[in-house]
Amino acid sequence: MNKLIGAAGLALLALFMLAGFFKSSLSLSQPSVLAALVLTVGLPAAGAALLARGHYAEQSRLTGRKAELRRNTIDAEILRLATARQGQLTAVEVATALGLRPEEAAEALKELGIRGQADVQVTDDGLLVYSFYDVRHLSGKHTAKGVLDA
Amino acid sequence: MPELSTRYPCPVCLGVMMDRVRLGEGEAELEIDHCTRCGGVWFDAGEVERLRAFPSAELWDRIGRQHEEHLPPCHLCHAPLSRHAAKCQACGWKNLIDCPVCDEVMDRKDMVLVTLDVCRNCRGVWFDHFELDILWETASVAAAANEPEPRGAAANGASLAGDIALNTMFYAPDVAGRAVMGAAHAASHIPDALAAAPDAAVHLASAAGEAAGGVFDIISGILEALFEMFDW
Repeated sequence: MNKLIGAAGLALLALFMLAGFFKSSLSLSQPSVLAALVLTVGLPAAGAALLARGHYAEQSRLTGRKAELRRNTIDAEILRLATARQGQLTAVEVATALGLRPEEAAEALKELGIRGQADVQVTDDGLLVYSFYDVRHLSGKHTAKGVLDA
Repeated sequence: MPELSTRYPCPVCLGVMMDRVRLGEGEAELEIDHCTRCGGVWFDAGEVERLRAFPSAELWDRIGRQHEEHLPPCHLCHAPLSRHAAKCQACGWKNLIDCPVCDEVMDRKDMVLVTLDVCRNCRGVWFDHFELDILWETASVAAAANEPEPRGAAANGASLAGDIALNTMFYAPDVAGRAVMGAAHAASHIPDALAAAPDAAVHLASAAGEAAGGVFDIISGILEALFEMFDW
């Protein structure tokens, strides 16, 4: 927000000086007038443009990072839900438990499958079930041994 | 048939929908939004005041008390960030969350004991879990201090602080609401002022133009003198 205020201030300054140029009787053919125009109008205008661009780039970055955080949270919540449901989930279960749209829930499960967190299984009735291997075998974690002893 | 109710997303965790928690029954029933992940609670306008009617034990029964502070990730750099902090130490992001109802950035209001997130638009208030904890502990101390047996100065001080904290929290959205109404009232006079002002505006613009021309002439003169000095 500070950047946007700065940009607005510089833009006003550039406009003020541009108005001054049109009010003055000086001709643009003189190098000093051209230099004054660049210094008093061009520089503040460029500064305003850079600040505004910085502000909107920051906003867009924040929006992107929030969307990423939202996806991470949904993944974590799906894994938590899988732990509570013996390591097997359907899109409907995820959609109802997390308050997501069914398509969103299916997409999130598919993503986890692509990343190797879940295997896709099909029931006799054609229902897609996502099975989380790690979650289903969590109870055996106390039997873990060193890699060379295994 | 079960009633349908809107579930809002948690403004801190993002991606998690909050649960609707019902307190009380009948006309006194109060429905609040609670995030099971971070433990925070969202109160729509007026709900904080109504919460006073319920004993804290009932609230804790329904939402479950967390004993460790949940550290949600910073929304920009995803580093763990306490909700106490004004900004993220890692990336400098201001710890401001969006209203779950209107999606506007909420204001952080420093109260006596806690910092609350208040929405200027819908007048809802977000309580982080530890803020709720402080609020109810203070309320309990205040209630104990009102008992007839003599209490120590510390308890009386805590009671006073508790009352101030509670009253400030309950009425903060009202104060904000009144400020908005005041601003709206002032804004209603702007058209009259604008109708009466075109002449003044023309004079002002003309004077500003003259001033700008003068400033531009001065700067050009200085540059011309510099150019002459260096024989450019």
